[in-house]
Amino acid sequence: MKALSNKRRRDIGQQKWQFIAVIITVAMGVAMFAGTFNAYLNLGTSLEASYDRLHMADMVVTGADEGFVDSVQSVEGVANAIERRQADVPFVIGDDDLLGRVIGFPGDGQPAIDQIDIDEGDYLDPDAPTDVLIEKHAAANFDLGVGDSFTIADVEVTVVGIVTSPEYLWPARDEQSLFTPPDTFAVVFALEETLDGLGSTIALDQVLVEYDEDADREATDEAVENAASAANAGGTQVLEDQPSNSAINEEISGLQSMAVAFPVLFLSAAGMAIYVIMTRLVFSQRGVIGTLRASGFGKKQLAAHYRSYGMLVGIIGAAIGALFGGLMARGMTALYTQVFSIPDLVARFHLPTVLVALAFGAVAGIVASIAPARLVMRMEPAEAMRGDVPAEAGKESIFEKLLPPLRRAPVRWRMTLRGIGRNMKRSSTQVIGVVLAMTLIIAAVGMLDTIVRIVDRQFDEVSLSDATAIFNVPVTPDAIAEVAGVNDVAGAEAVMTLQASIKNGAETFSTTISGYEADTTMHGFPEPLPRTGILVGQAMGDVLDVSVGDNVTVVLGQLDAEITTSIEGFVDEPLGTVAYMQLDTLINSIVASNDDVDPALLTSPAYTTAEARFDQGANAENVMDRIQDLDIVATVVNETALRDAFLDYQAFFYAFIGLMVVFGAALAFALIFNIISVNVAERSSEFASMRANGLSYRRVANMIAGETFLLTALGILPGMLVGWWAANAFIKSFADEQMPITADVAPITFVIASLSMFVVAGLSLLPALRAVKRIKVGEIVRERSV
Amino acid sequence: MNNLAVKATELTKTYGEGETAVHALSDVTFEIPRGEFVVLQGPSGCGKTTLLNQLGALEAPTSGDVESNGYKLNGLDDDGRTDYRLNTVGFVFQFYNLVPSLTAYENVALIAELTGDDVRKRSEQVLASVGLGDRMDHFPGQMSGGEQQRVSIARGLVKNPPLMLCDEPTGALDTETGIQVLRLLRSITDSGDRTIVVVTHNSQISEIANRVIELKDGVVLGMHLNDDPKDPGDVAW
Repeated sequence: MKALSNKRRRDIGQQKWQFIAVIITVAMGVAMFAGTFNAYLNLGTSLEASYDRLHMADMVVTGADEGFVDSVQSVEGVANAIERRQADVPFVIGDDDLLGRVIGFPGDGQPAIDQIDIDEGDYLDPDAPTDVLIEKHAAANFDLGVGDSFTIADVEVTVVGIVTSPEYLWPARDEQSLFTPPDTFAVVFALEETLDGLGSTIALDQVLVEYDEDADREATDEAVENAASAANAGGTQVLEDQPSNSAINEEISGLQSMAVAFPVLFLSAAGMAIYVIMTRLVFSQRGVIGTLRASGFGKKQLAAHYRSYGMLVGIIGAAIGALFGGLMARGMTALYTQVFSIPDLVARFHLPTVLVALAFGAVAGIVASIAPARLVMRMEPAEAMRGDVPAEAGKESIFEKLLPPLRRAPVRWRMTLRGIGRNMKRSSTQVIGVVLAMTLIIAAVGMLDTIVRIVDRQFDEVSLSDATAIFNVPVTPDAIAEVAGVNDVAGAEAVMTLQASIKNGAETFSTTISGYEADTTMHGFPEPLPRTGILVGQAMGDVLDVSVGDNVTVVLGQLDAEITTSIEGFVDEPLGTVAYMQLDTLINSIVASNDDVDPALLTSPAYTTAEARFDQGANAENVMDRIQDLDIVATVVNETALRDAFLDYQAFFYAFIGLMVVFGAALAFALIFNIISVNVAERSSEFASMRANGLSYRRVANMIAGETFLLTALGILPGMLVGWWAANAFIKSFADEQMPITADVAPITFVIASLSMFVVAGLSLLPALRAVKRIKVGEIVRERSV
Repeated sequence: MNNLAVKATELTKTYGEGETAVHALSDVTFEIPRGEFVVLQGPSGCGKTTLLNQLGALEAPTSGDVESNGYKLNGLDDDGRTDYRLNTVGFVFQFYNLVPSLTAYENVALIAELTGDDVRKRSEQVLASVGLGDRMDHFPGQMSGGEQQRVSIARGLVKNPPLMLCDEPTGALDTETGIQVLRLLRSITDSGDRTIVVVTHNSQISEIANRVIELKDGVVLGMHLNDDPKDPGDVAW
């Protein structure tokens, strides 16, 4: 029906700003969905492509018996397995001393599993044992190029290539150090014989296992773990727990949660705005509807006509959103692949996502128009043609009922209070809009608050040392005293940290175990370390299903030792889920569990360090330099650097959070603007009449502003509660058993989110108040406005 | 005190420009003495409401001026016009234009609060004077059309304005209720210091007026006085 189409077009044109606000809201929601979900799909595909091409290991088994590499190949689902060795050894690169990692590679070409991309230079020469390939993060951080030299365990090596490794796309030392300070870590790939030439360094024997493409991953993981256990392996690491993969997948899964949760908020808001506009339109067109019905239009025909408004703006918004979403997806995929150094960028156009996005927009529009369309169906032609709407029944506001003294307040105040009860659906819509916008803002900023709080707790309450010195000599009391004696160092203690698998029956938790002195001042424990037994992270306790007093087995793969000990308590630490023992107890338990363990090995720099605290007001950099200058120290890790590494990791979250705050404000603006516009349009005769009777524009404006701010205020408390709940749910999508975080939203965030709602409400008021100022009092009082 | 309630001088109001311009009023000049019940009469589109809007300072004229109760309306800005309406004019509209969320009392008190103390006493008195003493706590939605129009009249009267401007005050009412409302309006001029201007297309209403101003096509066709205005109940409606 062309005439009806023209009517629809002109109706929309007459309220173009309200409809534009809705279209923008739909477009934002759809763009977020299409962009984020496509980026999520593309990132997963890109990562998968890189893993497939470079044969990323599906499982790494450490310290298994000889022959395991052959036996594991017969496990169902296993495609291939190879042996490899790696060692953590002191590096000296320029002025930097650090604990680096050397991974043994064959001289006759790349290994079959965990291959690398050579970005610059050449592969290793089998006749040049001092040549190394350096992982690209370290090359960039230490400004190393092909031909440059540095020292590994007193052996000078030369960089012959800069490489990308699928194991270090996110350069983490281990599962417990996802945020490894870049100055303290570097990975090189060297010939096996280079590894042999690194003195007394203990190299870990690893078996890398690759699965068939169509293998049942869970079943194969279990079968390989069983086989590894039978081969007395010290530890196993599935791909899911591989540090780099785990860090990247946390981000990708967070992206997936965002892709669904936030667009739902926008589409809900858009739907509510459509409902408000369409209800108003239907009421204002009662006469037209009655006339059309009298002229022969059917109820369903007219209902479909009004539903089509919502569908049209939904589809237009969704189409714009899908377009921007497509561009956003490309940008986000490129950004993420760059941040995580994923070598393969697969940015596909996912038609189903775009179609779903379009459907989201259209469905939001149609659903929101159902109620107004039903109003159309219920109108009787004769009554509708009269055009007037039965007068609303007035009543006291809830505020006056609850607070009787308000009944004596000036009438204009009471009018403001009652204004919010005049159209409960519309008022509820504004309240819900405020709740949605606050949810968006609090969930996003709450993420930032939580990160900051985690960092503060970790570095102010848990990890109390200022620096960790890693030694290149056995750690003796003299060595500790030497560190403690450095100018501006307040104290130093020996700390031993070992990779460990903690087992309770069939349940295993891979982590680290740290030994601290009984009265340590380097680490904050809720109560002193027990003389015997261990303390473990609460999340570990849940996984292992243990309580205080239960016995667990601590498997130390590097030392081929097993300790049976009891759980003496749980700790709640924000970063990482680890185990703690008293240092003496740990050393004695290791020695007692395996006669073959050489106590001297326990002093290897790979295991044992000293943590130090500085004097108040000391210049940390200078103190670090002084510790570094000690001959016995291989490298010093600054705790501030750890804090910075963690915050750097979150850096590109900030852009997202900023975007969410802007989107949240825009969402609130679009919704409140529409509601106020409709409110003013509907009550134009009332306002005109007041103006005619001598109320100044300012008084009328104050009443409208009062209603708007009051409704905004009503949304604040539920907005805080729902926002806090959403922040928790959002944070949980990034949590895992290693980092069991919960939302910790700062009070100031609630305050800022609340104030921002009032600012947005104030801004949304401006166009409506201008409309009130432009009211032609003389014309409007002649007509009954509905 | 000047005995003139309203003086319109060469009042012209044109809507639009050029070929599409509509001359709603052209050089309208008249005077209305204080205390009269005046009817502005004419067919639809003759400019009655435009003229009423000029008298009530709801619109500015294109040229000419209105003097009313000491105000020269042409020179007033928005605040000045608001002040004039607040202190000088009570409006009664065809569709009452009451605030539906306020009771009858509160609709009146809303205006009373702007114009002095004793808000409750004045509001109750004026509502009682229009016969709504027992309906004060009812909301507009709970009242008949006649009752709502009486609230509207009370709202206009509560600030004790020297000029009441009524736009088709009986247009939405049945005959009997219309008669009651006209009686009420007529009684308002009894004190002799309050002037009422009623716009209507209903020629019978002119029979109850002291003065009738006839308009056609934006021009004053004529003005005549009724020596013996009838009671609304005596008019053949």
